[in-house]
Amino acid sequence: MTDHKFDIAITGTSAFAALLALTLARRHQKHVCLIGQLPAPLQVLRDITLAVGPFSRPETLRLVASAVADLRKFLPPSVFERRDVVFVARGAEGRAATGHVRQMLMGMGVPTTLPPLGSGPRGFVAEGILALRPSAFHAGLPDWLAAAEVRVFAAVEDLQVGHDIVRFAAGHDFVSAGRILVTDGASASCLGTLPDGVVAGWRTAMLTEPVPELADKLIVDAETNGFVVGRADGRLEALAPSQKPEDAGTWLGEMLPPGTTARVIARQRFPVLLSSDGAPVVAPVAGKAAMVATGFGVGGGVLAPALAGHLAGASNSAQAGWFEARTAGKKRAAVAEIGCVGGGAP
Amino acid sequence: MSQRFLSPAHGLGISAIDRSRRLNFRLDGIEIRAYAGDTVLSAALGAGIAGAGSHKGAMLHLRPGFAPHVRNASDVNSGGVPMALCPVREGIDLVSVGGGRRGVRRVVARMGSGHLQTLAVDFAAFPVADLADRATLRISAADVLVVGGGLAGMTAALAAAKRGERVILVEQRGRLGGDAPLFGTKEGEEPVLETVAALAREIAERQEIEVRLLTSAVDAGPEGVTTIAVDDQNRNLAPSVGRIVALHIVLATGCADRLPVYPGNRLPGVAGLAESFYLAGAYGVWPQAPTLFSGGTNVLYHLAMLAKESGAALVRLIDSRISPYSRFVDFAKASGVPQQFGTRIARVQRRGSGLAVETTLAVHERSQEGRAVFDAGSVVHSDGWRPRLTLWARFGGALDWDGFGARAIGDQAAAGIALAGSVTGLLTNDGCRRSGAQAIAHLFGDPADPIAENRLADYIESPDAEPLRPRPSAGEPAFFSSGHVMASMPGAPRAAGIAIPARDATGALDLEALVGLTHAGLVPAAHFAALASEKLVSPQTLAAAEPAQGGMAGGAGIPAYLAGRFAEPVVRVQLAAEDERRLTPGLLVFVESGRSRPEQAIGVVIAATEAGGTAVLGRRQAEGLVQVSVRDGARPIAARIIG
Repeated sequence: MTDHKFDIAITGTSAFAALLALTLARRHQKHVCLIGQLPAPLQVLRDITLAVGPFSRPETLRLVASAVADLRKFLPPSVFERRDVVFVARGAEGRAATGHVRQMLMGMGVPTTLPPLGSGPRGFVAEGILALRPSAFHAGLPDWLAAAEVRVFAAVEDLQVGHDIVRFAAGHDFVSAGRILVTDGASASCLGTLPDGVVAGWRTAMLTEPVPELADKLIVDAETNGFVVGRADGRLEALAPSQKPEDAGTWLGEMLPPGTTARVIARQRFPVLLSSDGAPVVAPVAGKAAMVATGFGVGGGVLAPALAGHLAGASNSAQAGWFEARTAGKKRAAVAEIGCVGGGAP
Repeated sequence: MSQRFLSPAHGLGISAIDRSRRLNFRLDGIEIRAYAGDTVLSAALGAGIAGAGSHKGAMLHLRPGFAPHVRNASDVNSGGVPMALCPVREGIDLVSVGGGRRGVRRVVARMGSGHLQTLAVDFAAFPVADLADRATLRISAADVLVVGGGLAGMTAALAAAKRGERVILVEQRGRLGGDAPLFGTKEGEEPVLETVAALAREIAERQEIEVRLLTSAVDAGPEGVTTIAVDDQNRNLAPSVGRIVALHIVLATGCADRLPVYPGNRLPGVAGLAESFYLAGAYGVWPQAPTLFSGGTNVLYHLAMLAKESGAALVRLIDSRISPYSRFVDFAKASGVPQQFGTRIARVQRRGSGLAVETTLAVHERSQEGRAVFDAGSVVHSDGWRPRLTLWARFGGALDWDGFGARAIGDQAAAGIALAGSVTGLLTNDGCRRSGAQAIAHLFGDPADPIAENRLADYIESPDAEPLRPRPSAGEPAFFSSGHVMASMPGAPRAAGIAIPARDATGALDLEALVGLTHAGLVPAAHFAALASEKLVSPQTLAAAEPAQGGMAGGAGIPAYLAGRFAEPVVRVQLAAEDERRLTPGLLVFVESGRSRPEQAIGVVIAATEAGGTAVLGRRQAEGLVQVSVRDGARPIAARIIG
């Protein structure tokens, strides 16, 4: 039996969680561990990270833009690529909201176009958006984490969150941490009650046989932060905002161009935490050494280093103001995002 | 060139064909002579067609687990039916889907006198359609559904029938009995062929049991089990897709040959042990002579002996174990089967109409010492067994990785479903029989003790060899799956420690491929269970659809995502564009056209109207304004506040 002590334990292994752990360890000299299984080779995508998101708040878009510049210094160039991203909405309110996002992005200098009518769900194309290449990112991640001395505990037992300490067992190890930051749904039960503004939900990741019309396309459902990533061979990796296979299938059908079909050949549902107003939320858990960070969506993953700075007390005033406005509790400002149209954002 | 035994040895099992009744049919334009009871697959193999086609230039064998679909030559729109489930009918004219009228290709030998016959399907362009998500045509109900007609399945069906339950027993082969006869009989046991025959007779006499042969269970879920058979009424071949709804389900799906992963492991002429035993016993079909047997199981010797007794020519039997001992080893030796120990196949290549089989020492694989090349017409290999657990997984049953056996194991009970027989890891005929009865007892809530098998001790029978660990390969692909998944072993990494992804592993994966990838170290064992859960799902075909959501934007309230966005309080106003255009939702409203930064906006259009649009503006900022500038990207649009 070995005892390990960490400053902070982070649950979840999304790019957001991993970047948070890396930044806390590398920049802020925190002793960090991750709780969760790193994505397996061949596992269907469960998250993507873009340099823009379906945000309606100018301060968020500005913060994301500055965070992207910061992130490019932090990771090797090979993990980035540029993609045209199609933001779509299914309902009328979502389409109105997406139109607003488009105007916001154009106001920030992001070129956009409108796809031809009848080419699929309605929305707009944001051109040349910087994105993390999932394959390159996940290939490099284990080594980066090891170099930063971030321990990964794939499976833990008896996770207990107290007033000022977190404890769990992992194999033959006993682990304690000063606090825990929960970013995923799998570990939420350790919190007992979820903080205000955070709700439990589900997402379903899917892989399909090739749909040639969507080869190399990237579609984001602005209402839910669900996405469809078309590989070069036309196979689709999709994240549906649903738990049941039939609902996930219905959603994916609505993302397809008219006249096409897709055959789902792999599928996995998993629990997530959603922010009920669709905006990023950093939520302390009352009486426990725990916080929840969720709702960052496809465009908020790049904010992980900024959040790390905020948690370490090293953020600038703009960052601090932005996070304070998005901290759950009585002082949380009206910061709802378009994700609220689709029931919340992960 | 016929590939049939004239007089199969008795131990090969019960024949499914009537050699006194000849049938003729056409496949891809060539005339094939068959027997009553043949399937299209067995007849094609019996006619000497050893290949199914190719995938990205690699030739692929024709086997029960891998064959193209066939359709009536005149029915160009049909997706076809599985060859292995399709009975032969006199005079039918069939083509292989993806091969068609190009016909059977004959690869003429450059060496030797024979030629290799292969269908001409390009599997990269025409992957075999999975029929699992075809529309159901026939729904049946039963108290108990038993999937698999081996010893465990037969016993389970009888045990349920004796309780008065209505039973449906589905079996994908053309006869009951499974692979039990391959494993022979121990001293003091009833001969297994007699056991199988007695059970089959008893089942036939039971009115409660409906047996469906040549019926494959392809999918499972809360709605029941989906089955595929071939409907050949009126000579129009069509898949008969059924769904069986049952209160209780026994999965006695057995084990299949484990595919050893070496280059050339799916070339025409390369075959698995159990499938070869079945084809030889049921149809008298044997691959091209002479045959080299390779593997690390005791029953490999059993089949080699039976094949020799049936008239097959043998190259030799090579065993990766150093000094195996078993009654089968002794019997095979007495039958004159040449044996070589401590040796395994390194790779197989085509040579003329046959195969060049390169062997290596099992314990010093990289050493050149002990390397040899044998000419053979065919290879029959046995690398142990893989439990057929795909249906279990599709029912939601969990799978775990067994690192010692390098295989999947079914874990965690699922409600109303029981596994029985060799799929649970049982090895003996007696154990499988008792397991079938026990599965029924378990499903009906009766007490049941764990099954203690009476296995022969290791000092009497050597344990089977550990499965061959896949090595980086070049040249002919080393496939992980014997089915329609084409994932194969990558080449050696250029630098140590740099993993190279498997070839063609990014699409659909079956359980066999996932096991192979894990055994090869290309997928971490810790991820096996999660990946199995993700990949082994019921396929689902979706069509593009219009969103179901409707409604109009711009109701009475302010959208939540705009709350606090502009100076509170906000007011709703009506705007009219100077150029009379409709203003689309999302356009930002500014005090004047010189401003464009989103932070400078005083409001946003939330709905288009006949006159222009409805906008939300910060009341304080809009106070006194009559003219505003609405911005569509870089283009300002002059607008008036009209209400």
